[in-house]
Amino acid sequence: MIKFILSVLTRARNGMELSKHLVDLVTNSIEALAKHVLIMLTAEKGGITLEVMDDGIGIKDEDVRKALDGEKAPRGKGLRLLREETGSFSYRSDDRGTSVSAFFDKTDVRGVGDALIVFWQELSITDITLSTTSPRGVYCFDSRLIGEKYGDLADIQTMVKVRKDVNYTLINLFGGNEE
Amino acid sequence: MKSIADINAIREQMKSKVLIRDNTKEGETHVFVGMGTCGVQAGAVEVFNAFVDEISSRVIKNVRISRTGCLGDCEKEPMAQVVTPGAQPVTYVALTPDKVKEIVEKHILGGNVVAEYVK
Repeated sequence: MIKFILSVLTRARNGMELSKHLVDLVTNSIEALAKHVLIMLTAEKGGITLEVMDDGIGIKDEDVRKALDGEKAPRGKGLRLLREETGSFSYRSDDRGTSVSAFFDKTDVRGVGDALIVFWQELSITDITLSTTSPRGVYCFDSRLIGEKYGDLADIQTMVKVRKDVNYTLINLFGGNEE
Repeated sequence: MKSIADINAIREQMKSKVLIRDNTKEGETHVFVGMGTCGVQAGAVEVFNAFVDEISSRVIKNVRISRTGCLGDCEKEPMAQVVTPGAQPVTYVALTPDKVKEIVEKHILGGNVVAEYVK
């Protein structure tokens, strides 16, 4: 049962890239002891909806309120900034998992590969799936297939390959320049 | 005699060092990049990826790069801690990709701490 739903509309402004917010949200999922994190990127309404879902232990309403009010909170990293910087933001959590969704009014997917490999060492305990949809096509990256598709997880060259592949594919699907 | 509060304070101070020791394999250099919200805003993802680029392009073995939480000094982010075998952890502050190149060259490869970037 959903314990908490919050929806806030704010005026979008230039801020941190989507990929940086992604780091905060996946960090929250890992800190909630998630075994699986699903990241969804969907091109719509001239921008991108980012949704991060996990099967972790959830976050207390009180901690979400503190995080959004800028008080010191043990959990909910980056939620306040996400609310401030996106056109819309919604949040659901219970003891079976959490889902955070935000709409970015710019189609900027630069650095998503850079953000994903930040969690490389956690992949032995938390699987990460990235699923994207844009008018140019769909793409799915699953960390459980890294060994089969890219190479040995212990090899740093594999990190580089994954980063390059994700960045290149997303730029092709969503547009923009690869950096 | 130390009070419970003193002991708790020491425990908090030592927590990160204990975690680092437990997670690092023998003979391996471990780089921890602070990825609290403050670090991410300040450019920690770029710093993490700069370490990956330098270590991979120079084909340096026995180096592991991990994210960690806030390293405790938000105004000095991005920060990273370099743990080399047999030495005290060294915390670098206000990092940029260029400083990372220098740290990899001088500290990780050369064994000399880059004192001007140390906390």
